[in-house]
Amino acid sequence: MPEITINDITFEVPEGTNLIQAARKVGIDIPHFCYHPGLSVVGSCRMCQVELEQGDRKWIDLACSNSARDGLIVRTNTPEIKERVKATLEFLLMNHPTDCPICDDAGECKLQNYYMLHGLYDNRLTVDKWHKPKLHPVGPTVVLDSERCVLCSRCVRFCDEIWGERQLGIFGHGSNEVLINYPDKDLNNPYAGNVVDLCPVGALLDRDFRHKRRVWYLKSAQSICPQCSRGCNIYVHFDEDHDYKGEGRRVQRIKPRVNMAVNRWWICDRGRYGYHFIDAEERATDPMVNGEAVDWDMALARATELIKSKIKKPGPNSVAFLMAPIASNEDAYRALKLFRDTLKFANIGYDIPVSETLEKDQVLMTDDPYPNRRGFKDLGFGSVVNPFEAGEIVDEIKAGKIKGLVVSGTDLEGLVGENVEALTSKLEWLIVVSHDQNRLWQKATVALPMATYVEREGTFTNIKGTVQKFEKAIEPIGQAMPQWEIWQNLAKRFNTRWLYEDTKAVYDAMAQGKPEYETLNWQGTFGITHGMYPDNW
Amino acid sequence: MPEYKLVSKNYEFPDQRLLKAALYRGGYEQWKRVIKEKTSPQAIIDEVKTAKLRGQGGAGFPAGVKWGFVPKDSPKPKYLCVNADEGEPGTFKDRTILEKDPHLLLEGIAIACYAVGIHTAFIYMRGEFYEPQAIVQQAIDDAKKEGLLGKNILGSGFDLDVIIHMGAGAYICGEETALLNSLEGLKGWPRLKPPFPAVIGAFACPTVVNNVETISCVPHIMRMGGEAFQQVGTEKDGGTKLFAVSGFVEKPGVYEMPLGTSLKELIYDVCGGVKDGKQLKGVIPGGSSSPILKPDEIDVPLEFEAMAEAGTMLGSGAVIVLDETVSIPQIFMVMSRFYAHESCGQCTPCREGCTWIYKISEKILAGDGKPEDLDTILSLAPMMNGTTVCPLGAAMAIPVMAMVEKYRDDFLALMKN
Ligand SMILES: Cc1cc2nc3c(=O)[nH]c(=O)nc-3n(C[C@H](O)[C@H](O)[C@H](O)COP(=O)(O)O)c2cc1C
Ligand code: SF4
Ligand code: SF4
Ligand code: FES
Repeated sequence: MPEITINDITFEVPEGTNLIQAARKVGIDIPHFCYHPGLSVVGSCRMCQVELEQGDRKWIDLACSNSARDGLIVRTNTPEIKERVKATLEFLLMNHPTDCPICDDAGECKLQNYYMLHGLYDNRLTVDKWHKPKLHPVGPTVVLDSERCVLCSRCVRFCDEIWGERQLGIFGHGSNEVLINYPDKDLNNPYAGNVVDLCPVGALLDRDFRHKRRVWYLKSAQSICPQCSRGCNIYVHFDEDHDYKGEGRRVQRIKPRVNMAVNRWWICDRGRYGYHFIDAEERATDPMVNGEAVDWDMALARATELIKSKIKKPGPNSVAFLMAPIASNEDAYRALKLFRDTLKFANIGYDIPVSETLEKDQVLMTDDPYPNRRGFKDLGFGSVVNPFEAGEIVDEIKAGKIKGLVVSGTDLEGLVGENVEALTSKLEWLIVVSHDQNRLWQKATVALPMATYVEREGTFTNIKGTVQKFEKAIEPIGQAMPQWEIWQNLAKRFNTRWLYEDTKAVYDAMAQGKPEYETLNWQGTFGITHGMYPDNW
Repeated sequence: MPEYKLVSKNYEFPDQRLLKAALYRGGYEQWKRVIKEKTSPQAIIDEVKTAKLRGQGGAGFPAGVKWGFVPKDSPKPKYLCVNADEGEPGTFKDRTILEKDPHLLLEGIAIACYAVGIHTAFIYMRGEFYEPQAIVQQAIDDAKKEGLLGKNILGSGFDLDVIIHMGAGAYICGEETALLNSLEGLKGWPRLKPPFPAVIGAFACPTVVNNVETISCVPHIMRMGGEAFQQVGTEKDGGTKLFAVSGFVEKPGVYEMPLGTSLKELIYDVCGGVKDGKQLKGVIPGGSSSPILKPDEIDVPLEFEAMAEAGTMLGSGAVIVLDETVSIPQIFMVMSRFYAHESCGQCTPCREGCTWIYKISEKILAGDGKPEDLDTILSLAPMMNGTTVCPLGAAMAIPVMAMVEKYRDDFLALMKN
């Protein structure tokens, strides 16, 4: 491996490593705007100039367009380099509106940060600044402030290179050049939100997050997107302490977390903006019995009675359990222990059709909106257990053979369509576990509120079989509880042998002797991190 | 030194643009000889190297060396792009070739393409060149009919297509890589180099980019032999160069001089000196991108190295003569406005720097300048030189610094308060 030296630190990097990336490995940030590891190199912002030395040659060049080769010496701190970096910043800030107090990017903005690190000059601008469009809606989810744009073209390249359709462009020339929509195009691709992450300044902003929080108040948890089976790695950014406009939302935004094997630097807009259910009005907060809010004890007692009333007579064929694979592996594992091993339900199904399949594309999105179908399959749902298809279970209910039904995580729309009545009218009782008050919730004999993925920890197995952990960010709403705990508490009423102290204990039991789970290091790098998200290039 | 006419030899004949007339005066003879004698391509490249022919578009890169960079074993097609964008303020020499002797250019194109193994040549022409376009297109059509271009040229099996591509009027598209992007239908933004066009050029294929005049010298090199051509000029700069002289001179126009001729001789002996016997204020010797010379600095040989030593550039050979009535701050403003407008806007120092300096220059002209403004200019400009994607930033910065440094008093005179 070639050995290179950056500012007197000598180390080995693979041949061809980009110099900005190489420098990061030893904790040196070479300032840059246009460079992004996921996009082509254009070398236009000129921020990354460094001194290079090889053999008896010494010259100044861009770090972003050079890669590591043996014996290369890189310096970022010579007087000449410092002068150039400072000058480039001064040029970039020349026409900048410096409206930082009302800019969402403040705190995450490269211009701000670099000014404090490399600028610190006195303003000597004596001529007028350009004025350009502000608050321009480039697309349904993103808004543009042209005056803040540093014309790095990252957003343009994202649309061209990652999504594959030109939706943005830089028009005009000289310093009255503007970034704007490509003629007759909207920034409406299903990954559009990524341009907000890419934008090194506050020019492209998420409408969803705009003026909601100062970013330094955000806390961050490492998580997995539950919106499709890709399992993109994300950060959940939350804050419960600074509610400016009384909207009462705890989760403020979702940001991609780099995982080169899964989602690289990106996430789709469905994942990015699909978190509002967490603090929505429809959240289920209290256990219910026949439509009345009760405490857990009463609800579980009633559920126990109902199950007992059928399990002996007429017997296990008269009851069914349907579980949607939005639940974690731990939930599924604990549920199987209860319904398969303890209660010996004859009908267990998980392969519940969805009401709408997603439009699978070339970037990340799969056609399966469930995050953990693969995990359920790996755990033996539907194969070891009575290989009942969910659809057959519904037929059995309609035929009057199944009298009691336990459903978790779905309103069964994909199975029975709009008409739930046809199903529920055939049942003697219905037990529902859900995070929201869905239409089954309204009909349930017993309804039990569960925590969402940000209110607890757990693992999902993605479409490729990779087991990935998500952290807890916030407390469950109301009386809601992680699903596996609901099953365990219910199981206690049937004298279960399997009692787990916490999620990790469930995971360990599940992982024992199974290499596909053991690869995941539960401790890992996890832990709540504060402030800016570290994958921001 | 009197004029020495090679490229402009037949300018005096109004019918020279017609194929018949061109043939009558020896046009395409070298091309026919190359075909007939099956001259080896390498021999042509060597001849051009010996001739010390340097790029006449401004940068002065040795043409033969550039041709030699094109990979010989590439499986991809190769292209020639003739740079006929001629956008540098003050420059109007290529236009004369296009209009007065288009067949000389076409013969040069044919020989160059044969030498490098190229079968498609583009002439990238400045958007406003309507007449030259019509004339050159007619010449191409005629030469094709005569079998001098097109398929199986003169029965040799060698094919060559020549295609005119009209630009859309941006100065930056004269820069070779912006030209290539524009040719490909992309925005005329210069590309990051390396890779150089000789390796990855038009449509990601090896491409030679040469100025109109450079290519037009090739038939003369083949006729005279490389050594004789070189000896017309100087040791490192072979042959002649067209100078487009404008401004306050008695006889403005395009003059072909041996390289190495003194600038002073060109202005005073060939062009009749400053108009109406006025005092000379300064000379911009190589197009707007070259630093201005004061009257006592103009006795320099017109040659790439010597001009560089004198702190300026031979550039495109556009000599702009300024007399005592000219306001340097005004020239400064007009020039910086041009660059601010023509900067492609891709890279930071040029995009913002050109405008900043232009706005300061306007302020000074309006009488609102302060001496510190000159310091600001002198500290901004070096940060635009050598820090950008293409040389446009430098082309603005270097002449700007020269004007402020050499004519500081003229600027201060406008700062009454
Ligand atoms: C801003 C800019 C504008 C240029 N304009 C022209 C032009 O109009 N014509 C030209 O021949 N070369 C122009 N050049 C030089 C070309 O980049 C290139 O060096 C030249 O075409 C190469 O041909 P040559 O080696 O035969 O001179 C320009 C360069 C720059 C940086
Ligand atoms: S909007 Fe942002 S990402 Fe796009 S060019 Fe401007 S600064 Fe770059
Ligand atoms: S130097 Fe100027 S013209 Fe050249 S690439 Fe940069 S911005 Fe464009
Ligand atoms: S990061 Fe290298 S030029 Fe922009």
